[in-house]
Amino acid sequence: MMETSRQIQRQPAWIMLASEFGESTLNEKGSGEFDPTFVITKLGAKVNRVIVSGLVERLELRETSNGSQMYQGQLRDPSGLHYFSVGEYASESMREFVVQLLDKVDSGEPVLLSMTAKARWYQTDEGAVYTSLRPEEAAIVTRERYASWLVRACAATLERLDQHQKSLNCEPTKEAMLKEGIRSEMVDGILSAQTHYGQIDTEGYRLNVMQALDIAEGKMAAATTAPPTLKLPDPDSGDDADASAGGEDLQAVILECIQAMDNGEGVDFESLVRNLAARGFTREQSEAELDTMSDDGILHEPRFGWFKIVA
Amino acid sequence: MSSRADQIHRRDGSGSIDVVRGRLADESGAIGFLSWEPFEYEVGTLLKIDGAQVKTFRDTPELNFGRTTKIEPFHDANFANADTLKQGMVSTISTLRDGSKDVEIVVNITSWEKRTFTKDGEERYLWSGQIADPTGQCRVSAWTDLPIDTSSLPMTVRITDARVRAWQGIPDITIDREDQLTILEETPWEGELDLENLKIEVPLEELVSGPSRVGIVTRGTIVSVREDSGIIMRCPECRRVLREGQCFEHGAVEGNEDVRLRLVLDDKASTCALLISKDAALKLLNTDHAAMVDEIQANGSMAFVQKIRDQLLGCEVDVSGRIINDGQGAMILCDGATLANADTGLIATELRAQWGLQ
Repeated sequence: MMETSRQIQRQPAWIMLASEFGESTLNEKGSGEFDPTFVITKLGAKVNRVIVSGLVERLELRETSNGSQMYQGQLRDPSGLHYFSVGEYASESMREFVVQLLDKVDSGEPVLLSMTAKARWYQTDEGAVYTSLRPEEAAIVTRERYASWLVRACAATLERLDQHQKSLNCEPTKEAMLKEGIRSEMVDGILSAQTHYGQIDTEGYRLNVMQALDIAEGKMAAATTAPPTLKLPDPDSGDDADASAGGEDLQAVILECIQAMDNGEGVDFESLVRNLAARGFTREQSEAELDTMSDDGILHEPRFGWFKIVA
Repeated sequence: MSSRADQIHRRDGSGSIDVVRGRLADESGAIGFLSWEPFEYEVGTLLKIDGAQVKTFRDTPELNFGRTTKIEPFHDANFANADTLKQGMVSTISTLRDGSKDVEIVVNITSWEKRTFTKDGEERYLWSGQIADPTGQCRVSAWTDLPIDTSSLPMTVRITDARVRAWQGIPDITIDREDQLTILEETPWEGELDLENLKIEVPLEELVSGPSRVGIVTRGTIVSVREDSGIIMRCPECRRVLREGQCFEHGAVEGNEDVRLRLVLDDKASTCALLISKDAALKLLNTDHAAMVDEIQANGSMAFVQKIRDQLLGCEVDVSGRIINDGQGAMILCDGATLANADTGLIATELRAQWGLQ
């Protein structure tokens, strides 16, 4: 009942894990010159601004084609990577911040950041859509603050997953969605997302949340120790003991994933590989281990490409 | 629920128009109406109204019936009866809107004083007080003497047929006649109101979409620390913040130093400006005024603001104070802020349980 003001209202910041933002390929912009742009995630969040946190991975100064300077970096959270850039359009304080940040990152010091950033997206000539962030403000944070952000990001993601689930049960209209208990700020985004993304697999997001909670609780190695690098097979080492230890580890993770994701029909190959990749295993490693486990009778394939644990 | 004939006088003095004013209610609430056509339905009649217009007076919507509005009696055995609806029409402080009329409310009067002023050379007075209920606190004004004994405050009263004005977003209930006030023996709510600590926890989204309120507590994430946070100079006359030594109203003045944080607080999909006053700001940042001045002088204001960001950006805080919501975006004037005590492990456990994560 408040009169809507004509002035441009500030857009709220969504608390969001990297995977949900990074997998978005839909955007929306109003017709007016100053209308905000949005990236719409698969779960239906209509994002203009985010507050994200994670470990800085790579930060470098680049020359752009028009000769100006641009800092590009990556921010890793348990679910994936954000790509961010700070250019000459950024505020003086943000540029000053990134200069000092570069020194820290170059010295090899692990740096956890929190940042408020605007959502950006671009489309290549081939039609692929990429999202990125333009930080507005950033701060170096402690492990505790990162953990606190993680649990809030998890809570927000779980709520969006719930909203998404509810939306599957109702007619694709605003009225029906509101009646079903979909929050008003989600309705537009969910409707657009349904049209654009169609049916989506949300299991990955649940796994991301579970992993993020583990990290927040300190059950898993903190992200400060090292970025979760891909464990590439090292052909030169020939260290059998190490390889088999890695194999057992992978096997345990595969079992854990299938257990978590199996709704009765088993889990499809692609989802498994993607989730294993998020935990640092290459596609080749995962594929080989799945084969081995099937051969050993630990797993079976009720139909081609779907894995179940042998009871 | 009510209806009475009224007249609207044309501003140019060319006569008056007969109208009918009143109130309608359903189970979701009540709304005032204004009919430009004859309206002869009895109180308690269920009506179907088609083609009415909604107009807004200040923050209060009102239905307008004109020539093209179709009104007819309607029958629905399941519709709530007038008595039930009447109970639903009793307001609480949290639901008061600027411009509301015919307000009925039960409150504690917690202070009461006579204020005199001079108008057209004549000394006049009104009574002014504070009221409270479990949903908040606001002001009350009376243009007539009322049987209120200041020594027996707080006093529970029922106020009827009142109108609401808001000043700086804080509702002010106006009483024009003595018969609008009934003194009650006891409060309809249980227990005493603890006025010192009468802080109502309200989710940010509710605050941002609602009217201005005092005595609120809310929680959110700090998503921005504005660059003009820190030491500011205020005009000694009007307390406005000086810009380059200049007051908007009083020109170049010698300012008084003050401390203020200008932040943005977000929660879910709501966003709100957050101004933290001196004492609360120093406490939140765990510093004192002199140390802050020294720091800004030593390192410059940009480094200082970055330090506040390093302390607060992305943090969850609990803030108390009042909110002004005037359609230009909401703003919390905060007199107390603490970092939310996040037991991360506990929250993680609760999340797992709530959403069935194994």
